[in-house]
Amino acid sequence: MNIAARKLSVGYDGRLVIPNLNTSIDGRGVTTFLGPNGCGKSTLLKALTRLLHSGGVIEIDGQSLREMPLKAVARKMSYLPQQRLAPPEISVEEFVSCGRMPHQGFMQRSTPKDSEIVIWAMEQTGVRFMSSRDVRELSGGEKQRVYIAAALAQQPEMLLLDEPTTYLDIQHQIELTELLRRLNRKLGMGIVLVLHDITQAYEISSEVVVMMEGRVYSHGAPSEVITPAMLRDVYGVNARVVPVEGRPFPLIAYDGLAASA
Amino acid sequence: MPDSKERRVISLRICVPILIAAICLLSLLALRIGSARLSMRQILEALSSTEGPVRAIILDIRLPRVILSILIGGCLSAAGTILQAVMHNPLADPGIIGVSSGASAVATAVFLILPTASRSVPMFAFAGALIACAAIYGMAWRGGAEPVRVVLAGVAVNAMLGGVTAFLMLMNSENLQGVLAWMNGSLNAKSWGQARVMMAYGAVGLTMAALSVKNLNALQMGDEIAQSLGVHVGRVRLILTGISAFLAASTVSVAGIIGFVGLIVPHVARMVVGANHKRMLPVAMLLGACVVLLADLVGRTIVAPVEIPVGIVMSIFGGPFFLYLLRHRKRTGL
Repeated sequence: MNIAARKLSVGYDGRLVIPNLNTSIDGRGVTTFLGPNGCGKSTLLKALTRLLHSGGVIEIDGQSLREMPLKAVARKMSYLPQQRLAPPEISVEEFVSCGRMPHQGFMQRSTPKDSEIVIWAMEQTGVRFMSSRDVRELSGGEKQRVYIAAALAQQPEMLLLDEPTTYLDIQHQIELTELLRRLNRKLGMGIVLVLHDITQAYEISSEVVVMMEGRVYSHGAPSEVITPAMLRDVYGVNARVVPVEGRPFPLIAYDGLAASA
Repeated sequence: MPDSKERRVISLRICVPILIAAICLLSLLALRIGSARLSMRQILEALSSTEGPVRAIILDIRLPRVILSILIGGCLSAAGTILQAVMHNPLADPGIIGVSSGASAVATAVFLILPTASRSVPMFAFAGALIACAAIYGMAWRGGAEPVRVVLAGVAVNAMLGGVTAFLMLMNSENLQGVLAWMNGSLNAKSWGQARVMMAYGAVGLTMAALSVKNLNALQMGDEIAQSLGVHVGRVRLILTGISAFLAASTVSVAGIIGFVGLIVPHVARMVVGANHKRMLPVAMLLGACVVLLADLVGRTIVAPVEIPVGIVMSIFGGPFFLYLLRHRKRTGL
């Protein structure tokens, strides 16, 4: 699956956050949007899932996104927002079952196949053992996995997540990134993320899109894109990309704010 | 302790039969108790005969009233259940979308300015309820109707209509009897005509409510997740609010304003069976029927032979009960 945006413009209340953006995302890998607060990365993610009205063209596998029925979009991709309402008072299993909606008719009841997929989704994310628990009683990390299970029950080709690791402790962050990587490798599910942690982005991504002021600053493999020059230009910080022996990925060491020109 | 975290919900197989039994029992009591107390034997004898005063009391006076109580309770509870999910707000009640204030303002105007047309008050009240709801949505609309803006516009419109109503009452204070009786929601002196109207409204409104359970479940997860599940959030929210307004407006037009049912009953239903609307909606409807039957029974008997309108009973007992719910719940969310 491939998402392409051409001459994309998105804004809120007449203020354009993204004036004119062109990009193409290969939906087989793990793509991460990086960039400072307000650069438009979350806005771009929402536009790509049709949550926000946008100008220009968005195509999924060559098909115009706006002309697809919402249910068909929902079978192609699932979006997990960063800010969410408190979940309703239902069990984990009921919550995950909601993910089957785009595959069901208006009044259609759940079929045995639906329940099979719900169980599969709970197993993939390791929440099956808590299937009868109240979603509201879960910890932040558990909730995040339940939301991802519901998204998996949608059987999308692509999963889009807005800052999924924010608010999680380091153990749960690692647990989550490993889950996402597994979904990508084993199930071939495309993953698109918005992240703030650049080291994390380096580790998990096959492709990074760096955004600045509503435009694409650079787009490529992490090793090409995550550089001291980019960190200075885009984030305004002095930083080094430090290789660590015995570790496949470098660390980012920050040396303070860059002197403004 | 994983055990303590298991969801404790009561299964529908237990809940529904209990509620239906309660409705039957309360209905039977409502048929027996009144200015003439009837025994079971009298009721059975009267029903097997073809004429007689007892038969008339049961069939023409008490039965329509029982049917109205059941339907009004069910419709108000369904309206509240829908609105609470749509607005993401556990305090949502059909009142906030203007149904009560709109109906009151129009009904008051008809009672006081056109007393000759007071027979058509139900029709006017129904129209007033829906117009007020539309006005609130019109004012809250900005490329969509976000719940917060609807609530705020609702506060403004409700205050305005309340002012209009109070003004009309002040200017015509000598003719207030009819208005007050109507505004306090009474089931007194209802005939089969009104029961039939309510049955028609209820059949339409409750069917539409039942068809909405999946969308209600999706909407209560939040707009973005609902849309990610393929739901046209804006459109669906508007339709569901319309269904809720229709249900509430139909009860208001038949019986006047009965508060608290649409607010409290969904809460209790959610506590008992959880927030999955496949279970919550039917339980709320049945429970609402019980509550209105019981409230009317209390109103008819507590200071007999004087009758207290069911709307007043609901306010007097409903308010404190709502406070009790708030204090004794760990979580007060949806």
